[in-house]
Amino acid sequence: MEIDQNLLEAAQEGDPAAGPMLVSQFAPALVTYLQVIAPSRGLADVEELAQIAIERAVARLPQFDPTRATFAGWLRGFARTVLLEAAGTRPATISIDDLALASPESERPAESDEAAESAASEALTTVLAGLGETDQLIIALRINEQLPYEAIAQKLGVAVGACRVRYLRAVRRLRESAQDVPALRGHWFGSADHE
Amino acid sequence: MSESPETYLADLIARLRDEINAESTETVPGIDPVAENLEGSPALAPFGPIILATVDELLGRDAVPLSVPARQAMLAAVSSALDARRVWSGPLEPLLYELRVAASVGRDDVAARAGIPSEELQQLETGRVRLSDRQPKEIVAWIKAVKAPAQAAADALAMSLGLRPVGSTFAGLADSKEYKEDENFWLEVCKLLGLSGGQTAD
Repeated sequence: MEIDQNLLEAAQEGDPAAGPMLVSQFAPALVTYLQVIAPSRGLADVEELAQIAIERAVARLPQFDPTRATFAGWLRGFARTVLLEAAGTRPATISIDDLALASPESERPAESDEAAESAASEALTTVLAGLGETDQLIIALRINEQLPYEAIAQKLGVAVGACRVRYLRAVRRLRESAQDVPALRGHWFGSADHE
Repeated sequence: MSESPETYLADLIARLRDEINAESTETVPGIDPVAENLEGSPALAPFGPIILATVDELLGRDAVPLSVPARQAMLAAVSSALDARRVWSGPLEPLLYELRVAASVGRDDVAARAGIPSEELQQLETGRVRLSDRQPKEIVAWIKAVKAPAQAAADALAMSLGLRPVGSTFAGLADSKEYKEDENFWLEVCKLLGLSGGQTAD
């Protein structure tokens, strides 16, 4: 389900009426997703993490780019970060600099890094788009969404082992397509170093 | 895509399922360091809209409605975040106040960094003193002390001074002496913030 443009604009302006709609439309799937990627956590814990993720996403709404992610997918990104923080993998402190990041002018990496990352990102997008749709789908589920094989298999109603094999074959095709792309040479999935 | 989007997404999921079911596990690929590294990597560059929508469709299945207490807590959190969003589209004083409070920085600290006496900063934060009663450089120092982004601060200042919407002319008002003074004050602050005419200087 993609976010309605009116709802997005209302939320960006801080319209209180946007709150119940955001929660109704996106929170249940977010909680369910967190349960899948963090099966050892209890429901109350997962609900709290989802709450933090949505709250943080609303604070950073001007950064949402619908050409790069769906709103639900963007929220899941926050959920993964919050989960990592809860596991102690990333610092959870909020500084005044973080608050500035919540503004419309936020997050501007150094120009040279930005240019290289942008070129690599564009190249990778092209390489990914050249794969078959089913290859793309299983890679997106496993890598971008970080679903365990068991969860993918359960969602699709297939065997876990076959799911893993299918993923490995998709990655092999990704690597083969990426290794001759100059912009991806510095990226390990685009080099032949791991052969 | 001649069929409906929903049908296409469902078909794509079914195709992946069929391919996995047809996959032979007798010749399992060996350990693949690329695949293993990928699993711990950040998200890859954006996929196309069909893949993104299919992922949403698959992950949205079986979502269980929230319990009443969980929904209430979620609503309270989102409501608070929406309140904070409103600050970004309002006048400068509450924006700078909220930035200071959210960062748990004391008024005295900010006042010292901004070079404004603490009591006077309180008057400014609460709107009891007009921003244009201070020097532009003091306002800029205050903006920088709480690390407010320049463009957002300039927009908020325009609203505080009654110049919004920026660039528009209110009949009669724009010719008044007070309006001109406020506009000059705003332009001076923009200049000190490194903005040109209220726009980001690239």
